[in-house]
Amino acid sequence: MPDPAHTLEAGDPQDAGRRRALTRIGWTGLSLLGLASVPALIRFLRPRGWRDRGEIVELGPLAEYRSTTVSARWVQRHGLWLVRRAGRLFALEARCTHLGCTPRWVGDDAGFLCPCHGSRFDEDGVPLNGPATQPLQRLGIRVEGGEVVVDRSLRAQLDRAERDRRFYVPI
Amino acid sequence: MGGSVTREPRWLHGLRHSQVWRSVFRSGVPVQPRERLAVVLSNVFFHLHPLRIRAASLRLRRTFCLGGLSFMAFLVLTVTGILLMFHYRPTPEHAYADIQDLMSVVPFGRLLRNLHRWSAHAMVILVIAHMARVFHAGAFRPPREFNWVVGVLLLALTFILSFTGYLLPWDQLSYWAVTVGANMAGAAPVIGHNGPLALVGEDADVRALLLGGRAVGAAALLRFYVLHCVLVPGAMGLLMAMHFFRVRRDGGVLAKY
Repeated sequence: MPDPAHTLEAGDPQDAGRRRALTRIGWTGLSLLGLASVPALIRFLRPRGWRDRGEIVELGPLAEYRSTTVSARWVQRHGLWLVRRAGRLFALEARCTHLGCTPRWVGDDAGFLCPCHGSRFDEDGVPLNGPATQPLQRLGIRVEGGEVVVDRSLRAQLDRAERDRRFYVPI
Repeated sequence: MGGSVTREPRWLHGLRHSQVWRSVFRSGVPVQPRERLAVVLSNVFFHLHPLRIRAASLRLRRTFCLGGLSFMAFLVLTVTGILLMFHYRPTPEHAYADIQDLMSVVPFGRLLRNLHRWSAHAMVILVIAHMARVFHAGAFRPPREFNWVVGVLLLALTFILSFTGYLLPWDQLSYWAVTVGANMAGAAPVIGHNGPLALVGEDADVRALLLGGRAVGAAALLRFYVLHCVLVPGAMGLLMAMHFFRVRRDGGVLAKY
C-alpha cells in the first residue's frame, strides 16, 4: 500500500490538476514535435543536387545525324537515342517498357537489348522479343535553326508518333 | 545431478572464491529446482526463456524448429556481416573491387561471404516456412494475433534486408535488380510518383528517398548500406525480442486457440 502522501494525486487538489495539465501539455508538445519532424525527415532524405533534367534539350546540328542509323551519344546524359529511318529522324526514350531498365544499342542485327530480362527492340523501338510487349516511347523532336531539339514533355506511342509531325523530322 | 562428489582442484577453488568471480556470479551453482528457476528469471541472457517447457513442445514435428533456425540464420548473418564490413567500402569506386578482394585475396573472405549469402537465402526460406507453419496452427487468432502481426513485420524486414543486401556487390545483377525494385517502389500507390493516387513528385517519392537520386548511383549504394547494416537489423532486433517474449507470454508453442 503506497503512502498516500507520496501518490501523484496527493495534496492540494489544485496541485494535482496542474500536474495533469502539465503532463498533457508535455505529451502534446512531444507529439507535435514528432509529427513536425516527419516532413523534416523527408526533406532531409530527399536527393541532394536534384536538377530538373530540363524537358527541352538541344542536341547539335541535324547534319551530324545524317551518317548514322542509331546515335547513342545522348543515352548517358539525356536518356534517349536519335534514330534515322526512311528519311526521318526521331527520338526514342532509353527506357525499357517492361520494367524501366536502360537497354543498350548492340547493332543492326540485335537492336536494343535490355540487360534486365533480355527484351529486344528494333530501330523503330518495336519489341522483337519479350518480356516487353510495348514499343519504346517516342519523344517530341523539331529542328530550330538547323539544330535538333528534343522535347521530353511530349511523348507518344509508335503508331501515333508515326503520323504526328511533332515526333519526327525529315532528314 | 550431484551423485558423486568430486574434489575441486585447488586452482578452481581459488578462482571460485576470488573477488572477481564472486562479483560476476553472486550465488553458487544452482542445484535446486527453485534456484534454477531463479536463474531463468533473473539472468539477463536467460530471461526470455520459459520457466518450464512441456515435453510435448519439444517434439520436432510440433515446430520443426523453424523460428529458432530463422534466428540462428540471423545470428550467422550478423556475425559474418560484421566481419565483411571490415573489408567493404560502400562507394562505386571500391565496392565491386572490395568484393573481388574478399573472394580472392582476403583469407577466409570467400568463406565468410558465402556463409553470409547462403544464410541469407536460408533465412528467407526459413522465415516463410515458419510463417506457413504457424499459420496452420492458427497463430493469427487470439490470443496470439499481436505476435502474428509482429511476425509479419519481421517477414517484411527480412525481405528488405535481402533487397538492400543485393545491391552491395555492385555488379550488373545487383544494379539492374535494384533499378527494377526501385521502379516498383515508384509505382506504389500514394507514396510513389508513378503509382495511383500519387501524393508527391518524382523528386520526393519513396523511390527518390530510397535511391537518393534519379537512378541507382553512389547515393543509393550508401543508403542501402546504412539500411542493410544498421537500421533494418536494429529494428529486427527490437521486434525479435518482442516476438520471443510474446511467444512465452501467449502460452508457448502449444498455445490453444
